[in-house]
Amino acid sequence: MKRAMKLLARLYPSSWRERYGAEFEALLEDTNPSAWDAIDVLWGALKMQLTGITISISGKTLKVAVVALGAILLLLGASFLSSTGLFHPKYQILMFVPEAEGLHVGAVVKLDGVPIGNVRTVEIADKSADANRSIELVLQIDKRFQNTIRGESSASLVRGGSRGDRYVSIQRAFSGPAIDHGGEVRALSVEQ
Amino acid sequence: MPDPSLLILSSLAGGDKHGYAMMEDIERFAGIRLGPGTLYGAITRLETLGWIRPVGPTDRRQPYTITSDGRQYLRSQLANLGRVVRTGIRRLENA
Repeated sequence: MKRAMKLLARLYPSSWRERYGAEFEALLEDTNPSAWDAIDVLWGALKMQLTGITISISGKTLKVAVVALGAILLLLGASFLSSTGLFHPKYQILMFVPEAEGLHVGAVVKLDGVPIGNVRTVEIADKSADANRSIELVLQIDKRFQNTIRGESSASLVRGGSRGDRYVSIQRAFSGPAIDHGGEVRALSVEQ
Repeated sequence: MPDPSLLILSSLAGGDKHGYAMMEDIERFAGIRLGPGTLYGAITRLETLGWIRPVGPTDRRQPYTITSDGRQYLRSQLANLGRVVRTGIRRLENA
């Protein structure tokens, strides 16, 4: 336990260890440390890292520093969420296929290999007499890509991954009008 | 639990001590065992405020002494605490 305590003591800021490190280690050698002491040292190191980079920091400066740290963390979090595309506007298009074995809700939708959305629903199509249109897929796609999915685009279910799951692959087109929200992308009957 | 700073100042008011001696003394007079992290967190704060200072030199076990500012602070805090204790006891007795 004493060895573990010495390792924990290294978590204190180096400026603090320069000043107090030797006597702190001497104290740890004198005590018979318990698990609670280990938590106490860990907590002490954390507080010192947050507040004591310079030990002469004043209470008011500390509050400003904590608020600034919180704001930075918030910005980083928002930036991360933004980069995941969570806040980008989406639109939905339909696709009809004869079967959807191995295709799950949430499966990725790719445009020429680039992920642009997910499969929102996989359901038996209503009133479809055509065997090639017996399953209706709703694809939720990032609106930024709407202009690249046009009337001449085609889509297919592609098998990928070790478990044999399938995803939707859309081929980009440069002619025909962009498919609107609620429109349909043409499905290729042959699986790639 | 009372403020660790008050416990340390009270301990040093009785004489200079190093960290482990403070821990033992505080446990004796207050029945509280301060963890090493809590103890040195408070020592760091008290030294920064100028209420204690290291004395020595000795070996790695660095003794500390209470300064006159530290005594003044301790006196005012204990006076406040004393008022709270006396009021609480009086009210309990009259209840």
